[in-house]
Amino acid sequence: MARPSTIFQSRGARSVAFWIGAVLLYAGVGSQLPQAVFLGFWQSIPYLLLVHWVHVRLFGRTTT
Amino acid sequence: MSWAAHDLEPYLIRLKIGGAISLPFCLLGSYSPDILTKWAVYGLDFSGNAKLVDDPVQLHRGFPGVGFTHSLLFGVVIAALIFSFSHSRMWAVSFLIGSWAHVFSDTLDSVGVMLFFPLTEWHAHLDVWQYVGQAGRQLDAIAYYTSLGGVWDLLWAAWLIGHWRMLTADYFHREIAPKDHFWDWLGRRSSEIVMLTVYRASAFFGFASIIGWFLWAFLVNDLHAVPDWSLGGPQWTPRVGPP
Repeated sequence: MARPSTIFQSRGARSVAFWIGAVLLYAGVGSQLPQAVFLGFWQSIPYLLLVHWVHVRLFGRTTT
Repeated sequence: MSWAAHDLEPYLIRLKIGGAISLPFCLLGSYSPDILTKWAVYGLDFSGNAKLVDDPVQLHRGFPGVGFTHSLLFGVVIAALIFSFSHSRMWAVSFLIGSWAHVFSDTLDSVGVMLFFPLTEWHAHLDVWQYVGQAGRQLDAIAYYTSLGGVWDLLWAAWLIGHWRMLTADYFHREIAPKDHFWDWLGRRSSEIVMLTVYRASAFFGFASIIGWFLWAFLVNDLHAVPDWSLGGPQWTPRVGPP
């Protein structure tokens, strides 16, 4: 059985990977449709709320 | 003008100065010089063809115009207003530092800013990259991200990536929220998800927009731009100086 610290580190690493993926997805959409998502940071807030909601569902309340 | 640097600078200011800085007010200060006027500089569409004013440079950085928002005094006046309403020295000083960070960053382009307005309308401009705002958002993005402006954004992004732990929920709850009453106020009215979204929004947007604009400037648009990291570049844009 994996030790708790190992489980935590693994979950933390997956959580960081999740955030990197979220940034890259938004950047990818923006590179195709910059006028839709890159006019100001306020345009990212609905997406960011959704990403946080999904993150809690996937990882629970983590430190990342 | 700088692009994502304005989104990222306040995080590193908060990191370096510490608990004396309110990140939301530092961000507000960082956005304040352009917050009401950028849409008029670029015009109403992405291409830059729907111009609203004849001389966007004069409007953005000159006087007559709203160039006074890029002066040192503007930050002082708004910070004084914030202090008079909130009695929070932290919020006022944070706004001031954010505003000044924006103003000093914008001295790097070819138009520059009226640092000491209203004493003088002289523009401080270091000409590290061309100001291309008058050509619309599309061309400005290509010019900025193919010039040293893009490198400037990358430097800020790399610095913040080096301190990525300050964007974690753990850091937020341990170092950020307990030291700024703004988060108490927001926490009473919203959820943790909303608080973390507000805390991270500008950094998230800064990182994503740097990656996305680089991709768009080099690979997606039809102008097939190439990097030009010469001082004052890119050289294919029209030369624009202070109004």
